[in-house]
Amino acid sequence: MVMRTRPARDRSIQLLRLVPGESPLHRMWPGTKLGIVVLVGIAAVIRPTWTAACVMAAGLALGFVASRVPRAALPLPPTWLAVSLVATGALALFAGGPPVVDLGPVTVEMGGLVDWLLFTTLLVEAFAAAALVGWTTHMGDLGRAVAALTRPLARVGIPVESAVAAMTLGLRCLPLLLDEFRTLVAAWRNRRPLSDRSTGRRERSREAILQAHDILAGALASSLRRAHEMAQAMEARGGLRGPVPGRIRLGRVDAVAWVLALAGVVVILWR
Amino acid sequence: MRDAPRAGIDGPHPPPILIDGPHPPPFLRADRVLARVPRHVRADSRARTRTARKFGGLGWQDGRTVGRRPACRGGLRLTAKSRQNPRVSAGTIAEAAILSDLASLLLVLALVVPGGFALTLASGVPFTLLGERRRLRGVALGTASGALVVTLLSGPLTATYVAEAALYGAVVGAGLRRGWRLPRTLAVSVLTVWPVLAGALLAFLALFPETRDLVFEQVRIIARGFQNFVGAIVDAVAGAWTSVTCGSACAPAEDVIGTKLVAFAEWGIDRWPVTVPAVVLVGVVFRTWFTRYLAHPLARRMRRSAAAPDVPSPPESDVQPAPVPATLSGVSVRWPGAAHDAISDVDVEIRPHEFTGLVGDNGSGKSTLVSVLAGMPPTRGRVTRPGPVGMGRIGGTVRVFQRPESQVLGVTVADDLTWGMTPERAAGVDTAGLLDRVGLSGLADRETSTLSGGELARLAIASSIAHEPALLLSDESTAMLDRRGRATVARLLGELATQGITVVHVTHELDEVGGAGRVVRLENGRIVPPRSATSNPPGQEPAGRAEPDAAGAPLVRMAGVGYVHAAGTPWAHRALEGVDLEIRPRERLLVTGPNGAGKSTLAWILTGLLTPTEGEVVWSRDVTGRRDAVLAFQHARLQLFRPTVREDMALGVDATRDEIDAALHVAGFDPDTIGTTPIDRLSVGQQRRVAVAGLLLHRPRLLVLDEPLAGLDRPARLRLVELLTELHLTSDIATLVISHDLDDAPRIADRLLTVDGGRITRDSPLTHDLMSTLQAEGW
Repeated sequence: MVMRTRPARDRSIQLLRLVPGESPLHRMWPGTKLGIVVLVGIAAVIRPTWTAACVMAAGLALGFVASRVPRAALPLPPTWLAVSLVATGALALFAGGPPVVDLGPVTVEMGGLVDWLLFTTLLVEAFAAAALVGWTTHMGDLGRAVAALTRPLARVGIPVESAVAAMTLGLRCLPLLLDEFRTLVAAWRNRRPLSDRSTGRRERSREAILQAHDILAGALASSLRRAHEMAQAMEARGGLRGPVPGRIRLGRVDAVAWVLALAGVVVILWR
Repeated sequence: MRDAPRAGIDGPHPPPILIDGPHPPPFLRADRVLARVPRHVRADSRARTRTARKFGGLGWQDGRTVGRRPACRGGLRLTAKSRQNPRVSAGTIAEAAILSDLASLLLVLALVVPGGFALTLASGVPFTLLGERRRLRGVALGTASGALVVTLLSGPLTATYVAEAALYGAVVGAGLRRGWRLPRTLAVSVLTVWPVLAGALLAFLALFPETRDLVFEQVRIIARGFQNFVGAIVDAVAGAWTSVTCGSACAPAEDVIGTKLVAFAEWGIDRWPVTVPAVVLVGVVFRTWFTRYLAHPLARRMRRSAAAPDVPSPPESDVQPAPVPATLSGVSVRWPGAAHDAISDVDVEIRPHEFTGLVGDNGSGKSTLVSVLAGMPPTRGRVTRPGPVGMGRIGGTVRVFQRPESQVLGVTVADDLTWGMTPERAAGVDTAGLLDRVGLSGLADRETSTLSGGELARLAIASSIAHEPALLLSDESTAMLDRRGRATVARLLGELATQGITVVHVTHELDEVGGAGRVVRLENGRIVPPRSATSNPPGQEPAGRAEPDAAGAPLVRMAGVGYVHAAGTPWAHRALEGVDLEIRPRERLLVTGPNGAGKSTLAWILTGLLTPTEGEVVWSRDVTGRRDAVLAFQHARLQLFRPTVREDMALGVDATRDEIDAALHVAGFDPDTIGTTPIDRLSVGQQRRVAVAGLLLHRPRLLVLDEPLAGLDRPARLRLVELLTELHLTSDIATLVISHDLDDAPRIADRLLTVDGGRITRDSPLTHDLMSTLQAEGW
């Protein structure tokens, strides 16, 4: 068996990884980035129109240029994703509805396709916005920003300290969990049953559910063990407060970003 | 030290002498829980039985004591006293963080994977477990954490999915905790989840008419699309049918179904304030049922494998901590449900500024003894110390555990140093100075996920001494490190002792204690005189050695193999370069090298789990086997999927019972005693051997083992070495062992490879001369 050399570009998706560098977006306070993403996202949920899609696209393009993130950071969509996109798009075409495109002998009703495109665009934009934050934000800064943002709640007596601890611990555990996932899947591939066509379809789908159960059980057991160890470590340090809140630092970049974002929201909601 | 007496003497500085008498451990204290169990669980007879079973015959002297299980599972409720305590336990926070991460990953996957809908449904499962184990408070924390993580991964909209999954998790989890049957769970779900979801949706639709129109338009489009789709089929079939039967005389058939559907959609849209809640109701019932269907068996499995009980929270106290000198006299501890004492009649004194090495095999009671030093009251005997242990407080006690990546809580190095401190306290921490002390200078802003195991272990120590403790308890903090990492950490601990911190270091390896300190040796829970410093018997020759087929064709050939992680992205990182390697049948290789040298990448490539970015891997077709190569992972638990040993081994192969038992026999087990043991009851060493036995059933031609010896004590190591010897003598399988230490090298390998910086730096037969050379080089 010869293994073919594969293309130079790795298609595996990198989650929440900082692209080292210096740019206005890197300098921006993480609270600003998070706030803008949430605000514009909510506006787009309230009025999911092409206007919203365009506003977000413009904002993202600006952000991407300002972030000086190399294009190589963009994940390549896996082949199956492209295939399934085309397939669902074709299905959406069946729905019909206005606008109608006249192509000589056939008329095609584009309504369903257009709506599907809008939905997909908004979804991709949401992912892109999240990715932009991930590329330009130090996760430590983000944790401190979240701690700072929730501080007013603590002053009025809402117990947010443990929530902040859980949130930042969630950020901390994500890479560990991904690593364990990767090992789990590899271990599964190592032992997965060699394809067996002899059994019936019903049998096989039953098998599939059982296998999913086995994998989920493995993930849960190892997560719970990890949680137990982290709990021990937390107790051993004698405090459950999470990271020390950072200072809210708003610079010129933040002001510009907020003005642009608010303008975008106004356009989305009231145009 | 919950009810440590305050110093009652009006002297200037009366040092209070605190004595831990025969108390049950804090997690079994009546005041923490349910003194009156039956009244609270009267409604649930199943829970009562479970309670009786759980707490019967604990063997504690104190008759009034009842047990506490984490978060009071099995229908037990917290008493009013615990309820007043606003503090969330560390276990709740940690499980909320990790389980909500799991749910978030499932949700994000659901968005990008075709047919990911099922994954959205599965995302309720982690929250259900959270609800079952940690009640509403845990679910609330998990929702906050999951919402943040998901927003960062895929935008804020997905955060609503997290909230939805959490709602189902809260209800189904509560049901599992209280032993509700399905109808009751469904009823509660309809009464709680349905109003929330339906109300939110109605409010949204009422507030934003434009979105409402858009949504309803979608429904119309789907209905019309269905009509057109069905219509096209009906037309085609009917057209064919009519042309066959009555030519052009008949009227064309009408598409009744499609038309009805569109009419029905219009009817529903006209009455949306009623139809929307009705549709939501169907969804709520289905999803509650499905979440319970998925989670119920998993929750049972997790409960069976539940780890040790929660660590007791250190009580807040104003008394100045003073954990040393601590004197233990006649101390015994018996864990609930155990037949023997974990430690018995231990007399030991921990003196200030001393470096004490606590040595012993697994199960000898080392960790229990450390727990007593950390403030757990013993079952019998006395512990005397000048003040409370003061976990994590200035002048108190800190404890570092085994797996380094679990000890580090901060996202960045600097965050970790001040994690859990008040801002005022954190301002006083000398970050640079601490990092200098542990040899991590200049790494303050590094993300902790990028640190190596040794660096993480040192960071954990730095974060501990940031609390300016008087006593540092290192609970096997070096077990998972490579040889260099172990040496560095052991030396660091020795230095801390000279700087005024009392250090108790638990280890398998006697040489880590060195000449610097005193050695306390535990065996079967008792202190025994320490043996001499040569903990490892000199490398013995294996009982027999089968010659590899030196002349035969190679089993596998790697030519110019290289691997770059995340190639082509800003995070590209080369792990392997220009590896040429041939492995013959029956050959036994040992691959060694420092952390991050590319050893694991090599293993993943050899076993086909990674495709090399350069070069090729060619397998010979002369030797047969069902699979080319299989990999036994260091973290063996991730490799075991089924609940019990035999069940797991049968996974993916159609092996007979005899074949399974034969494989277990090779792995050194008695099949009859181990066969039905739950996976989570096995020790780490046993899990590794079961994993190898399972892989053998796949009849591989090459077995790769990644760090099979790491973190094992002497007897467990010997058993693994025996397994490998047995395998070599009875089969044709070639083995490749990755190991960072060479202690047992001559017994498990004939050929040694060293890897450094992604390249093979040495490839030679393993001889005694080579061993001495390597030892001289400091491997």
